[in-house]
Amino acid sequence: MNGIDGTDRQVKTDEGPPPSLLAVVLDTNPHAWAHLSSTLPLSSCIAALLIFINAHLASGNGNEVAVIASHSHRAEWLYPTPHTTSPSHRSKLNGSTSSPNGTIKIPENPNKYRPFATVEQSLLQNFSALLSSTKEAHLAATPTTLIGGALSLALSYIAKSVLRHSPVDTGIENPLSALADSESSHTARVPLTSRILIVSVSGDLANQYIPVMNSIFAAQRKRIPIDILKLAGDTVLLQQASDATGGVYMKPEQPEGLLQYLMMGFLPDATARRSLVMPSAGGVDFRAACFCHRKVVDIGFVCSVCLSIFCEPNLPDNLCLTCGSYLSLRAAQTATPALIPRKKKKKKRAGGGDSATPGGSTPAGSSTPMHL
Amino acid sequence: MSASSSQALEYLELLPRQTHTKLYEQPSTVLAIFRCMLPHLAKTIVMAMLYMPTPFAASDLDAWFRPDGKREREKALAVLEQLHIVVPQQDAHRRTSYELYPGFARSLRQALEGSGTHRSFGVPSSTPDPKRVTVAFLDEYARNQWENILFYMVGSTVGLANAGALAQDVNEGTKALLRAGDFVKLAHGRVSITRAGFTFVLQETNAQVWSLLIVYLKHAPQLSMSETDVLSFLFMLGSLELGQDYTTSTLSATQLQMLEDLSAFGIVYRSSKDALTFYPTRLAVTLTSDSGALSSSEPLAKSLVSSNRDGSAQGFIIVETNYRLYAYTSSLLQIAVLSLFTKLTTRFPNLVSGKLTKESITRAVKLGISSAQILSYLTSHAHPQMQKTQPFLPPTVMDQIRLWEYEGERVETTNGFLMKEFSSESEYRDVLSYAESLGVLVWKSDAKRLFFVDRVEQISLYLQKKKNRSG
Amino acid sequence: MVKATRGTLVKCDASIKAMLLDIDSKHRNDFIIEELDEEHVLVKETKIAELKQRLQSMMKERLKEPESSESES
Repeated sequence: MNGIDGTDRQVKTDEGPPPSLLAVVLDTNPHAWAHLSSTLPLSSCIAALLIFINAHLASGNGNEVAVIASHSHRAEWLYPTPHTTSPSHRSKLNGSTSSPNGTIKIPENPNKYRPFATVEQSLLQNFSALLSSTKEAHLAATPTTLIGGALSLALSYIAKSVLRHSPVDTGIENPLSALADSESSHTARVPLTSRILIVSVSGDLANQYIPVMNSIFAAQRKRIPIDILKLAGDTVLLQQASDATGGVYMKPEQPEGLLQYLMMGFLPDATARRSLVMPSAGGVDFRAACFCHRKVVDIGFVCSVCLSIFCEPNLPDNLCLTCGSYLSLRAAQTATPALIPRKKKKKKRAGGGDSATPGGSTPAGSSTPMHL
Repeated sequence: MSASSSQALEYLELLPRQTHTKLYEQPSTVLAIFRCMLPHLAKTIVMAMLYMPTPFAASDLDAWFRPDGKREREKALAVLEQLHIVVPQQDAHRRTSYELYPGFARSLRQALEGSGTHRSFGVPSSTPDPKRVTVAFLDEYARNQWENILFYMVGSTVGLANAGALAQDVNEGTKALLRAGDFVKLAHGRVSITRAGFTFVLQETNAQVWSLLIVYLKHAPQLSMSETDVLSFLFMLGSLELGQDYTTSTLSATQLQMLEDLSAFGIVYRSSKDALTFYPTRLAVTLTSDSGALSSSEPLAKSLVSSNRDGSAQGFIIVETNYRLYAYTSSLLQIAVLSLFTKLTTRFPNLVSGKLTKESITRAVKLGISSAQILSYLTSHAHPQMQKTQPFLPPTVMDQIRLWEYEGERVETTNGFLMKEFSSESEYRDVLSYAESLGVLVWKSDAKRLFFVDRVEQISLYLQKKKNRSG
Repeated sequence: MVKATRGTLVKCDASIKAMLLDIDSKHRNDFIIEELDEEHVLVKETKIAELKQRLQSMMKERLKEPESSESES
C-alpha cells in the first residue's frame, strides 16, 4: 500500500551501535606517581583502569581496547602485546577466541571471564617488564613523559583498526585503495568508532607542544575524541586536545574515587554520548607554547612564512628555526606597538607638519622583516 | 543489542521476579545478560550506577541526559525495571531515586573484577584429554549437526532427493522440539515447514540457535528441569573458550541432562555419552555475542585476518538492479533456502545464479514467507562488495519485492491491545506519550481518545503505579 | 477507568475496509470488534486468519486481474 515510498527502504537492521575501540594512554611517569602515592598509588589506579576496561569490553560485543604506557623515556604497548615478527598484531575480539602463538599462557580461572583475564594478564606482564627495564639514568634524564609518542601510537593503531573493519577487506592486497575508500565512505558507514583516553599525571608537557598538536589535528580530522582524565598537574595542552576533538575533560577533586569518575564520565561511547550531557573543560586555556624553548607564552613572535611561534626575538642568524627563511624579529621588538606611531602621526597632522608624509606612506606594519 | 538476542530478551522480560532474582546469583549469567540483552544506554546507566555509593536520584539522571534523549532514557529504564535490575524508590519527600538490585550489582562487580569463588565461568578439565579434538573439528561437527536440522526442515519443501536420508541424522528429541516450537508439522507422514519455520530458517545462525533454545526453555518445566538452571547453563556456555575441554563434574543433574540435548544440536561436543568432559562449539561460545556463528567454515587463520566478520562466507549474495542474483556458495542448504524465493537457473562449482521474479516471490509469499524476511535474508548475506553501498540492496529491487507481496496481501495486521475510555484528555496524553516513548504505539486517534499498542505489560504497570500515586 | 481490549489491528485502504465490513455483516458480525477510522478496524484475534481467507476469495471473485505476461530471458 502506501508503505512503499522509499522511506522505509532501510530494512530494520538495528544492529545496535558499531563496535567501539578504546585506546588508553596511561601516563606512567614515575616522578608524578611518586607525588601522588599518598592519595592514589599507581597500583590502585591500574586496578581501577582494569575494571573500567572490562566494563568497556562488556558494553559491546565487538568492543576492543588498546593500552599504551607513556613512560619517561619511551612509549610502550601494554595491550595488545606487539608481535616482534609481524608488525600488525591484532587485539583479540571479545568472544572470538584465538590463542596468539608466542604469548603467555593464561592461567585457567573459573571465576573470571576469559577475555577479561587475557587483557589483564598481558597488561600486567608488559607493565612490570616496562618498570623493570627502567634504569635510574632514564629517570634522571627527564622529569616528564612522552605523551606525544604515545598519542601517535594510539592514532596509528586506530587507523589500522578502522581499515580492518571496513566492509571490503582489501587491507592486505591494496592498502592505498582501501584508505581512499574509507575516506570517502566515512560519513555513510561507520564500521568502528574510536576514542582515546589519556590518564595524565604529569604537568609541564610544553616541551612536546609540536608533536602533540600534530596528533590533536590528526585526531580532529579523523573525528576521534580525545578524553582527558587529569589526576595531577595541569597542562594547557591536554585541555586544548579535548576541546579541539570534542572529548571529555575531567580533573577529579578526589582522585581516590577514580573508578566512579571513569565509569560515569568516560565509559559512554560515541553512540551513548549523543544522548548524554558530557563534562568538558570549562574555560580552555588556548595559549600556545613557543617552538624555541617550549614555554607557554602569552605574547609571542610568529614567523610570517611557516607560522612558528617564538618567545624571544633573538634568533640565530636571523633565520626561522623551523623553515629556515630569513626572519628578523629585532625590529618587531624595538619598534613600539602599532598604536603609538598612529598617535604620533595624529599629533603631527594636528601640528600641520608635512614632513611626515613620505614616512607615513610606507606600510605601517613594522613587524615585517626589514633589512637593517 | 542485536536482532538475534532480542527474542531472548523478550523471553527474559516475561519471567517472574523470583526467577530473575535466582538468575542474578551467577556472575556469568549477569555478565551475559548485561553484554547481549540490554539496550546500549541501559548499559551506560547500569555502569554509572555500579560503583555509586548512594542511590541515583531521578533528577540527577534527568540532568545527565540531553533533553532530546528522553525517549531513549525511558526505553532503557523500562527494560531495566522489567528485568528487575533497577529498583525505583521514593523517599519521604516523594523524590524518586534508582538503585541497582543488590544481587545483580554484586554479581556484575564480581564478573568485572574476577573476584569471588563462584566458579561460574566453567571449570576446565584438569586431566589432559587423550582424545583432544581441534577447533576445526568442532566447527565441522557443529555445522554438520546444525545444517542437518535445517535440512530436515526445508528438505521436503524444496524437494531435495536426499532429504529423507539426511533426516535420519536428526534425533527424535530434536524433531519433537521442532514440532513443539511449531517450526514443522507432520502431515500424512511427511514433514512440512510452517510459517514460523521459514522465519526460523531465514534468520542468521545465532538467532536460529536462540529461537530453538527458547522453545527448549519453554518446554523445560515439562521435563522437570528448572528454568533457572537451564538459563544459567546457557549463559555460562556463552562465556567459555573454544577448543578447551571442560569438566562435567561440577554440573547439576539438570545440566547433565541438557548436555545430551545440546550435543544433539551441535552446541556442545562430547566424545561419548558418559564422557567426563565436554567441548563447547562455536555455536555455544557465540551465544552471547553477535559475530556470525557458523559461517566461519574457513580455517582459523582466515578468521584471524578479518577478525570481526568470520571469513568471507559471511556475505555471498549479489543482487543486481535487473533482479539477477548471484550467490557464491556451494552449500546445498544455502542453495535450498535461496530456491525458496528465487528462480535459480545455473549452477557452477562455487556459484549459483538466478533471478528474482514475480512468480518466485509470490510463490514464496504463498508458502508464508514475508517480503521482509526475504529482504533481511538477502541483506544479512549480502556480499562485501554490496555492503559498500547503503542500503546494501538496490532500492528498486527492494520496492518491487514488497509490491509483489502486497499484490497478494491487501491488509496489514498487528496483534495487540486497544486502549480506550480515558477519563480525561490529560490522562490520555500522559499514557499516550509513555506508550510512544516505549515504542509500542501502533496507531492513535486523538479525536476518539483511542490508541493501539502491540504490548501492554509495561503500560498496565504504569497505570497501576499512577493509580497508587493518586490514591 | 482505562480499558485495554485484546485484538488485532487491521490496516487497509478504504475499498478493502468496505469488503471487510461486508464480510462481517454477512457472518453475524463475528469478526470485527470496532471500526476505528477509514483505514483501521479492530478484529478478534482468533478470527483474523479466517477473515483474511474470506477476503482473499472475495477478491478473487470480484477482481479480474490482468494476466501477467512474464517474459523471461
